[in-house]
Amino acid sequence: MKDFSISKKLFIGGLAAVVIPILVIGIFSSYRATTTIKDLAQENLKSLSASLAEAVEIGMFDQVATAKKVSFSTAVIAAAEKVARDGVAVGKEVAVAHREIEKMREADDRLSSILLVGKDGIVFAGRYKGLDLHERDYISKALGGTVTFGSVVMSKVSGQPNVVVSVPVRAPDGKEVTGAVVIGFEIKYLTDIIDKIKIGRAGYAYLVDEHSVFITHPIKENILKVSIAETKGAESLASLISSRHNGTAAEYVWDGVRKVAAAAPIPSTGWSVVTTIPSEELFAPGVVTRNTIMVTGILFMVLSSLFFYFFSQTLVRPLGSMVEAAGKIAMGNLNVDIREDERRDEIGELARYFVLMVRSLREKADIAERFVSNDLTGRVMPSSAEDTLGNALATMVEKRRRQLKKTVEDVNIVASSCSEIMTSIAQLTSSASETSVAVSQTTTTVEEVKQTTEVNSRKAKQVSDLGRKAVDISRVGSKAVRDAISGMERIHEQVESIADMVVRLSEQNQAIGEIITTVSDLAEQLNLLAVNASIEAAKAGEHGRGFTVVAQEMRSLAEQSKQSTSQVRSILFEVQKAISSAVMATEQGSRAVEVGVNLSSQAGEIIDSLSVSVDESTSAAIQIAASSQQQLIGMDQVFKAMENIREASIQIALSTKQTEAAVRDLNEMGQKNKERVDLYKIQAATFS
Amino acid sequence: MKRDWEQLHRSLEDMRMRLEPGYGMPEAEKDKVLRSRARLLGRTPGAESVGERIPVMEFSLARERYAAEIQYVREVHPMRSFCRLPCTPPFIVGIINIRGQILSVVDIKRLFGLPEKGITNLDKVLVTQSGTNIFGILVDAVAGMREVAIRDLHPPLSTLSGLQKEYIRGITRERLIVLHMENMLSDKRLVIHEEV
Repeated sequence: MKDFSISKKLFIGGLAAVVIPILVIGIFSSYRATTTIKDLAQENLKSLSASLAEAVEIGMFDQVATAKKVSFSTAVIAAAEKVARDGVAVGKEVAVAHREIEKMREADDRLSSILLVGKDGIVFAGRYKGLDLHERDYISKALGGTVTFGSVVMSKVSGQPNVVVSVPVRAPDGKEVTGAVVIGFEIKYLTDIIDKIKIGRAGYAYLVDEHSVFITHPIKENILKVSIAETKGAESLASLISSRHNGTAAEYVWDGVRKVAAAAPIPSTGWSVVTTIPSEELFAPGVVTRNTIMVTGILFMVLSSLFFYFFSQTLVRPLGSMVEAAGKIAMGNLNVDIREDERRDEIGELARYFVLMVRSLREKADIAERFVSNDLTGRVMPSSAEDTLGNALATMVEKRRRQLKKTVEDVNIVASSCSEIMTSIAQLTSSASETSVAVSQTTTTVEEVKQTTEVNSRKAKQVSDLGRKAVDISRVGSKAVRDAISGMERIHEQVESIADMVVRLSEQNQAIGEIITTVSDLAEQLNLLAVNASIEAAKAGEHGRGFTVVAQEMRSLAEQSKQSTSQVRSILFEVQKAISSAVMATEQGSRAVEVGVNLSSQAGEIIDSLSVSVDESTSAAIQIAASSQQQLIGMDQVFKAMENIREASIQIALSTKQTEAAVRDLNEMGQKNKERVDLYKIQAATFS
Repeated sequence: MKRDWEQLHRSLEDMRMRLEPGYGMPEAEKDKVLRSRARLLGRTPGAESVGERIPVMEFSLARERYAAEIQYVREVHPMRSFCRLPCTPPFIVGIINIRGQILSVVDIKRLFGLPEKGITNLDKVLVTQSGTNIFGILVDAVAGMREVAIRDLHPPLSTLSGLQKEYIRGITRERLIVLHMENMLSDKRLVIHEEV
């Protein structure tokens, strides 16, 4: 089993899973079906035979009842008693009995004979009178007091099987057996019933007597001639019949046909009813069932074997190509070609992951190859955090790249530093020469400064003298300002008094205006008065004419005075305007004087502070003169220091030349390093 | 600004002199004025007049000149302390007390439909009387007495109608409108008798 391929295992396993249950179920069910059907059929046979036996028994009892009826008839009893007592079969009683029984026989066509037998076994009444029957077993038994059936015999008259039944006839006291009644009858009405029975197609029923001899049979020749007990092959049936049991017999062979039979005893006669059927027919439904199950099972086996074959093939075929590819990869060969499967199941997934694996391995191999050829541009992408190889490769490349990057940067830095140093040295050289020039210039400047300082010292002395004079002048100025302030204050008082006077003038003007109004009113009244006077004069007629003139004159006077008042009023208005402007001018003058006072006091303060600052500048000028002297000494020292600087700068120039040569060597070395590093490719563009 | 204080003092002194009492125009000038006035007054009246002349009192109403015959004019009184009367027609200005007599004052401007200017202290009342009928007429100003020749009076324009036609007697050449005082004073329409 271990050596089998997966397809075979799948095939066998699947097939077994289908076949074994089919076999078990098929066998079991067919067995159960056949046995059950057989049992059912046998049970049918058994019950059929039992019911037939019952029917025959009833038929027999019918005849026994007839016989008993005969035996209890008075005539028969009397005849039997007479015969038994006299020992001779004559007399009235016998004749009466004979007639009676003959009548009864004729009434029932099934009855072949009714005989009365005496104690000696000789027939004393009936058809066969005088016939000695004492040797017959049924006679002796009847005379013994029991009802007995005789053996079946073929009737010589009708050719039909005949049976006799013997019943004892007792004396009137009912104790002594005086004779027997024997009734012979054909059993055709019974055998007809049995002959009509058909079981299945080929089954039938028959009667056998106590010696297993056929009483009825479909084949007439066998009747009363053939005995089952003596037939070969039917021993089992014979033993069943002889056991006098209602049951079924095992299979037996009859006329070359395998048969099954059931037997039921008839107690009164010792006969048996047998029902039989060919086993083939009996078992036919079971066989059909078994065959159906078998055919279905085989069909399913074939179908499932086909299904499992194709299933295992589709399952295993893709695995085969992957196995081959895996073998190549194990040998280190990554040139494998696997088709990506469209399947969605686990195998499809396996194939896809396999392809991914191969791709990732190829990428890694490619990166490793490039790494060997100094190309570090490839980037390793680990498939996952657990991708040990990928991670290690990535770390390795990354580390190497970082180192190289660092180295390249360092080399570049060294190179650029070298060139920077060279530039600075060149600058240093030029600045050294500039320094020497500057130093000599500075020395000259220092000389000039020294001379300037001397001039400064002299000027400072002059300034201090001027300062002293300025202080005196400022004192004079301060006094003048104070005088000016007191003058201004006097002007202020004057202006105030002018303002008062002007206001008073305005008030008086107002009073004049009021008087003028009164005058104007008076003139108006006078006017009216004149008018009224003229009216009166007019009314007076000629006498009033002179008065009219006077009134006229009055009116014109009133008119004139009114005009005058209005003139005065306009003049007063002008005066009032002039007074208002005078008040305003006075007010402005007063304000201007106040401003003047303020300005003057400010000027005084300013002059005071000026004198203070002039004092300060004088003392400062004295200090300047002193410090100029010190400066002069300092400048001397500076001059000497400059000399020293000049010598030092010459030495710096010399040493700078040596440094320049050294740096040039360093620069060359840096260039070489750079060329070496440039061999590596770290990114898409190199670092140089 | 340099001011000539000396000149200022001189002019002030001059002004003070003028304001002193007794200071007037020269005697010769006074005499001249008086003479001319006497000449004017001494003229013979009616020398150049033609026909009968009637004395009238001239007054002004809304810049128009009116006159009333003097025989109906009692006196002129300033329009002061008058009292408005309720429930009177608009042409009744109110009532006025003249020396204890209560008079009603009529506004002719309203009767004639002339422009109003409101009542001021300068307005006058012309007291007119004809028999027992007496009322005042509100006028803007009183011009004074004058005489009008009846011949010069032209009848009022035929286009005038109603009150104006009835109340106007005639118009002079100088466009002086002479009122028909007799009509006005006897007109029952101006008498208000109404109970409220």
